[in-house]
Amino acid sequence: MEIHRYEKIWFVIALLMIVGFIATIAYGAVGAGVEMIADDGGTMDPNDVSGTEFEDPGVRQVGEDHYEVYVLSQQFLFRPGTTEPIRVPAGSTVTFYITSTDVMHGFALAGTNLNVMVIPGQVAKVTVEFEDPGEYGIVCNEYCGNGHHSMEGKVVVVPESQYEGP
Amino acid sequence: MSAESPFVERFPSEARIVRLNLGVAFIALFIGGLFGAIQSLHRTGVYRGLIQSSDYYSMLTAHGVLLALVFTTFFIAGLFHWGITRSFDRNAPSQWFSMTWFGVMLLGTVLATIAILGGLIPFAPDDLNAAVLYTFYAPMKAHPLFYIGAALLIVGSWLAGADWFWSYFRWRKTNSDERIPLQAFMVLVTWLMWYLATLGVATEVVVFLIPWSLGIIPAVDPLLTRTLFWFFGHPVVYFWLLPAYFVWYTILPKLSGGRLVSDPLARVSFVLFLLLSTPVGFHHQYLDPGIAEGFKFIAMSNTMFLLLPSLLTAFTVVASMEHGARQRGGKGLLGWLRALPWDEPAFAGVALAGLMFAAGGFSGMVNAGMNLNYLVHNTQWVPGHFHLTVGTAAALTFMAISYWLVPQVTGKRLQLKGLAIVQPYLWFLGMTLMSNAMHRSGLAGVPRRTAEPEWNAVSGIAYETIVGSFQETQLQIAVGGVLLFVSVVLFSMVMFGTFLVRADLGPIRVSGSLPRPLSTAEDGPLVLDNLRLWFTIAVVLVAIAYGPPFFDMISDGVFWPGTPPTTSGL
Amino acid sequence: MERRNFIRALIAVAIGVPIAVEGVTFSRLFYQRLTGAEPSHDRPTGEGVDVGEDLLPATDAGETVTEMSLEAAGETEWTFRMVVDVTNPTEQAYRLKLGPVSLGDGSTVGETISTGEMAPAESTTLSGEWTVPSGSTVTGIWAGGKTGEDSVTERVLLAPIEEPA
Repeated sequence: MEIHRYEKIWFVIALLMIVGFIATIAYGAVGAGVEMIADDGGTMDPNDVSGTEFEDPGVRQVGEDHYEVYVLSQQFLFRPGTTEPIRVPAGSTVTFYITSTDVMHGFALAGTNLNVMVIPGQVAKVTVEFEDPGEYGIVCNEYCGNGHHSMEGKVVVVPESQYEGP
Repeated sequence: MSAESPFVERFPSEARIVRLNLGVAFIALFIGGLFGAIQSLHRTGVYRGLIQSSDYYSMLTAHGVLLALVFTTFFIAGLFHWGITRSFDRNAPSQWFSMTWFGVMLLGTVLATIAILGGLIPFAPDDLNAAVLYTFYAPMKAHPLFYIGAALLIVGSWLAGADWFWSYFRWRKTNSDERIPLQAFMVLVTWLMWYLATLGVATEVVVFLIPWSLGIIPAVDPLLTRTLFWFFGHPVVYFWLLPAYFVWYTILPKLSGGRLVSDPLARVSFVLFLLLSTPVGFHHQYLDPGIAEGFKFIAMSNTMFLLLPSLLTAFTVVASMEHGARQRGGKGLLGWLRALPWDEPAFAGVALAGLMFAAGGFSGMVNAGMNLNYLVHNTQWVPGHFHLTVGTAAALTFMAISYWLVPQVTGKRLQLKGLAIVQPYLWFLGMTLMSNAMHRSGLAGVPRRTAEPEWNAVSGIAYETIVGSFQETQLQIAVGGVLLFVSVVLFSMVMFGTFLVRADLGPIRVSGSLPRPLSTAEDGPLVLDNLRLWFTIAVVLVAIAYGPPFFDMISDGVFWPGTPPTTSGL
Repeated sequence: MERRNFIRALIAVAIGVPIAVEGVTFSRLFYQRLTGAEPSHDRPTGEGVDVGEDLLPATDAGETVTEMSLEAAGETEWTFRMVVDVTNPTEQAYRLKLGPVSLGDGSTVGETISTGEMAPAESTTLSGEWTVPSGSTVTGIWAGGKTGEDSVTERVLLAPIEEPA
């Protein structure tokens, strides 16, 4: 099979580029330590939250600078997040546990890398560090019904001097 | 093969099947395109008076299904029916069977469309709707007709493949030593990939969603059904792309004035797609809970290797175009580009589609980047990407090659050629504007699939865009969307005019003959034609990529964690 | 001939405009990266609190802004000054904390000051000064009002403030 010299060179460049891309992603995973959402949040019965943390969702302090936030997503609001913003202090590490009891939703802090799918029956567990004070908009970025476009919320990262606890 | 009579005269029955499929495709394209224009005005805030935001999602479902499932599948079936007939140079084994698969596909389409449009028609029954979007994730439920229609469309396509494999086996009996003709090879390989890919969605719909939507089973596991969808959801994009490659490899060189430089390399790229298209579906689920990171990593590296056949295609196709240009007298390092027939609508559209695909391929590489996905998942970046790929590489190629193909299957000259010349350029311009703005707003976190992306439930929040403001990107999307719709209107006018004009106005002006490649099939190793081998390897790769994760999901119960159906409204 | 020119014009527009659009996008992205220029922050949605208005409408207590100004304080710094009249009409203790200040480039500067615990029916004036880099846009200030055990903490958006002369 006759392959032009230029095509052979192109083939090698293409392979190098592909391997390079895989390497950069691997670096992101292993070197920079960007973890993917996985199955460590566990599963639960989406039709019955009694006995789980989602019965009373909200912010909990579990360590000096470590907080856990249990978020229940429903058509069409986040609890907490929508009627009450989620408040955590600057300089904290926050682990979110997010699930849904009706349909699929998305939970994303627009403009950041906090972005997860929310699937009934699965608990999405993701840990992030909030260094600086600020406010982030939560957008539900997975279609969830005819009120989807109004499903928003806020995460408020409060300056430590202003933080009043969970 | 020099002067030969048009396809419609040599194969009138097959030509009729092609016309029927193309006709349905073009109607779906027009309606889907119209809805796209309305969406682009609505979600950008430019004009919201045509529909309510709560109805936007029925319209969006129609847009996705009519364009990405109906327009594509019917066009591809028509194109491939032509390709198979041409390759083997003989009639289809049974005209009745060909009509049957078309009929099954059409029935499925009509049922699903009724369900979807029911959501937009005020006097339709309350439960007749399918505002579930083209991905129809459970627990959101559509009317059962939607799922039944989708299943019939898929089954019809399986029957179409059976028609072509039947042709192939008949041809083999009298041509045992010959290489499979290139166009037939591409059709068969594409459909082998399709059979493997549709196993996922067929299982999802037939085993789970139809019974669930009818109340026969109470609950399904949303993660499992979603995973079954994406088992199909990635290879479907190659189902759309490989027919475009079919055009770029086998017809574009002739339109450029030359020949395909290498038939074997074309086969290699198709074989690579058969092997790698399916075991990558988890890259659509990078941010799903319930799936271990290891499976996502494997999908990532498989996906990166999928770049290879596309990059090889880029080289072979551009080299063939250059060959054609130089045959036409083109000179210089880049000057040969000017010698190409940019005033021929079929050539211009296909070439522009290929050019735009390069951009789409690169944004696809970003999507494949597992941890990069955090920044683009479910943002407008994603439709920015796929309007370049299915929306241009596939759709514009299909529109443009119709200018060349429709005269051959109707026996009529292309009408309104002036409009046809402008149409691909308008598409390219509109798509650049729309997609550029979608990519930019997506990077700021603006979500996709929403009727109103602006913040309206919370205050004090603004999108942080990098280049240009949020308002400006939205306006650019609206402008692009409208230009695209004008382009669809031009295309529809040309097709409508050509289909309807009298047949006796003189011989058609296009020639259907396709010259031999410079490096022919015989120059390539025999193993390339070993379809059984490649299909087996493809199945093994899928078993490796999907076996363990499916086992994980099913081991705690096939229907657990399970959810009952939920409607889209409160 | 006319057709050739038409095709040339068509190509020039249909391919030229996309190249220009993509080129401008790319160069502005690059420029922003190279010079470290800040991404454009659209001003957050919502009306900002102005002089004479209540800082935290969500609390029953009154926190009326009586002064909000920027003054030059040397070559590279400005002083942001805010004065708030605080009244506690509730039956419980109330406390207002004010600061840090939120700037247009996304940064947060300064300390937090407090009224200390105010008894029911008490009123007081809280005034503070924060140093910000000259040229900054003050977009908001963090305010926390605690009535009894309930607290409301927000980054309050402020109406645009006149720059120092």
